Amino acid sequence: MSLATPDKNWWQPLDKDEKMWLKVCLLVALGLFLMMPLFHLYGKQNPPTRSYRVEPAQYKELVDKFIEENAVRDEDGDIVDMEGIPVVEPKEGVKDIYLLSQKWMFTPILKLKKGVEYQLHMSSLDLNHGFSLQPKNINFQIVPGYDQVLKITPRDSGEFYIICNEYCEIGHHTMIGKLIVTE
Amino acid sequence: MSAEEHDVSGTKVLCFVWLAWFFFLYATNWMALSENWFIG
Amino acid sequence: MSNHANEFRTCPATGLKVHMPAERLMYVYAVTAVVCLLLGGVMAILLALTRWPAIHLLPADLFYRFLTAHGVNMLIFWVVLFEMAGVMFASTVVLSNRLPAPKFGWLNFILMFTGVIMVNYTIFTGGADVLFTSYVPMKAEPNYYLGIILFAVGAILNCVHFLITLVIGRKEGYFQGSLPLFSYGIFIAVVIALFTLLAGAATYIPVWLWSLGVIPSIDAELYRLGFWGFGHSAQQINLAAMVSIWYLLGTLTVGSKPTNEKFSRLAFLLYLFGINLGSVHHLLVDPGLSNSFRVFNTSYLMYAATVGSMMHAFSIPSSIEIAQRAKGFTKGTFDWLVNAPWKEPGFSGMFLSLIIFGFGGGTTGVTQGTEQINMMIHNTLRMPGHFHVTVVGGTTLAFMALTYYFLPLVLRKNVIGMKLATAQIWIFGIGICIMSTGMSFAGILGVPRRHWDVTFADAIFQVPFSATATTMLGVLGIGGVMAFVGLLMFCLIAAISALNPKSMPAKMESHTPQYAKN
Repeated sequence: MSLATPDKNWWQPLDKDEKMWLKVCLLVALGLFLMMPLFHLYGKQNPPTRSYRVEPAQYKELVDKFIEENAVRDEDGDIVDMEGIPVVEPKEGVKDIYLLSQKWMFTPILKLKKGVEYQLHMSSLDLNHGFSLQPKNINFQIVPGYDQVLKITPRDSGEFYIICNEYCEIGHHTMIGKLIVTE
Repeated sequence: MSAEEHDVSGTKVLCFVWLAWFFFLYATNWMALSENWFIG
Repeated sequence: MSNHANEFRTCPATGLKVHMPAERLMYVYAVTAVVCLLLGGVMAILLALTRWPAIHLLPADLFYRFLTAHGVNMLIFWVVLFEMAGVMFASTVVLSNRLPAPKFGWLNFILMFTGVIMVNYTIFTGGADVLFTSYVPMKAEPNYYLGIILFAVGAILNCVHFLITLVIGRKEGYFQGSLPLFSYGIFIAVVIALFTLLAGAATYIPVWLWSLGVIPSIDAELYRLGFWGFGHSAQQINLAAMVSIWYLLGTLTVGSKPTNEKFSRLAFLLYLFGINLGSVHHLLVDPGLSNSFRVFNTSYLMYAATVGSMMHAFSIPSSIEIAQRAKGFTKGTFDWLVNAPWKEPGFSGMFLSLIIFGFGGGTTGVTQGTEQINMMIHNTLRMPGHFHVTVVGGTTLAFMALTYYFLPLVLRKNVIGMKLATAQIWIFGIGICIMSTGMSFAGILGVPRRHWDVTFADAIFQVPFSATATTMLGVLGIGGVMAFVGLLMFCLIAAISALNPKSMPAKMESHTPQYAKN
């Protein structure tokens, strides 16, 4: 009776099946526990751990400078854009690349090289946003006031989409960016 | 009272079916991670 | 204490003494809870029909507004109000104890009720389109935060009332010895509730002041940490309450008794110590956490609670199996289960809730809560796919099943149509499973949660989600419709039964403390 006061001496030894199951539970928990540090040491893929505090205005300056220096330009020297968003191809040797999120766009459109390692910085000018790379389906949180740095090595070429998957008010479902990977 | 043995064979089957299902889910999820872009 | 002797009635089925002031309070809590469930349910069906691409019912602004209302009414109001009735039940009726301060109880109810009204009014007048999580710097009107604070304060005080009831009851001699297992489980839920609600107050009070302009800014990441200290821990109250209810329904339907009190109680204790730190798994792909902290947090601190759940998962079916075998269902391995009282909503609800939570919610939770796998699921539809089989298919289903016993035993109302009630349990349970399956597979394909239009028709680029993803959103919709039918049936059965002016007559009997020292 789970409704009745138990016998006074309810601290009783477990029977054989309970002991068996308890051992199974502890073994499972131990296995799950070991999986965490082991994957960090030997696994191919872990979440990023570098992040910095950054004021939105400060971050905007970094992004503007990055776009200015690395933007793809036409013959007249004007920045090439897609749907009004500048296209940026990091110059040879540029490791730190920047993505700016604000209501309701990602800037710039990054053009990366397959197999090259980059440090991708992400932050927001206003609200929380989501970084969801499709169709790879890898997701991170973008939080204003913080610059989160992802170590990224594109392993496939083609066009990918960055969709915002954190609600950011009424235009949330229109917030989308693009990422192009060339051979 | 608890020291007496009961037949709980049905429960054991249920629990181990559950365990098998859990391992399946856990393992397939880890496997889905292997070929990706981000290395922390 | 003889001045309270005449405030008791005797429950004809169990012989337990029911303190009448507690009965009235439990009634108002339960009724308000079901009203919130209905409101949240109406929101739910509108949302499901919007995410079903073939229908895409609501406009964007209403979608996000109703999503806010759905989250708050279901995840906070419905479950917490029902639990408030539950904690009162566990501390009075189960122990044949009296409620020491009914007026204090009413004050708490009024606080919580005011909170419910304020929050819903603000949401539906468009003052809080911030979703359940209201991540700063997104801002709602001050009354939204104040409503939640009032609700939380009422709940904290009610939890304190629970503890006072136990202390006074024991002192006056209404009960002695260890608490019954059900009350012990609820006690664990109350302790979890106290630190959860304090985290809630510590998070919402600064945000309320910020929305009033008193505090200039709130750190966005710190808010996320504080919010989940409240938002996730709140689900652990549900977990502890749900498991307690499984034990209770096992006793009520097949007369099972815990196989080993020590085993079950240690499992509850693991919830208390292990589970609160699980909150941080919402932040696994956020900036700000170090690797070592992520490992520390996601590994054994979370698995302590997992061990607790696995222990219950063995203890509850085995107690049922033993009770059934004692009745003569000894053939083979599963004769006891096949011949269980499936026609009783209590048994069907309990077992279905256990299976849905165990196979669906628990396994996906442990898997998705690891930091690497979290990168694949964060903010995709797999997230709601997970928690709809924990807090809906698990907790809500268990609460529904209990309601069919709560009505006659505690509120003295005849339940209309027990057969209908059993059907309701199955329709709701299966509907939720279908819906969660749709959500999970759509999420695996990358479909985001909390998103009005995954075709991106109004956006600059269109994402070509596969036809399978669209189909899975349809599965979500179909499951949602089915679950909504189940939910409506529940609300109708509960409302018609509860609002029936004819109560079963109360068998008033004088009751004085059995173990009074004098």
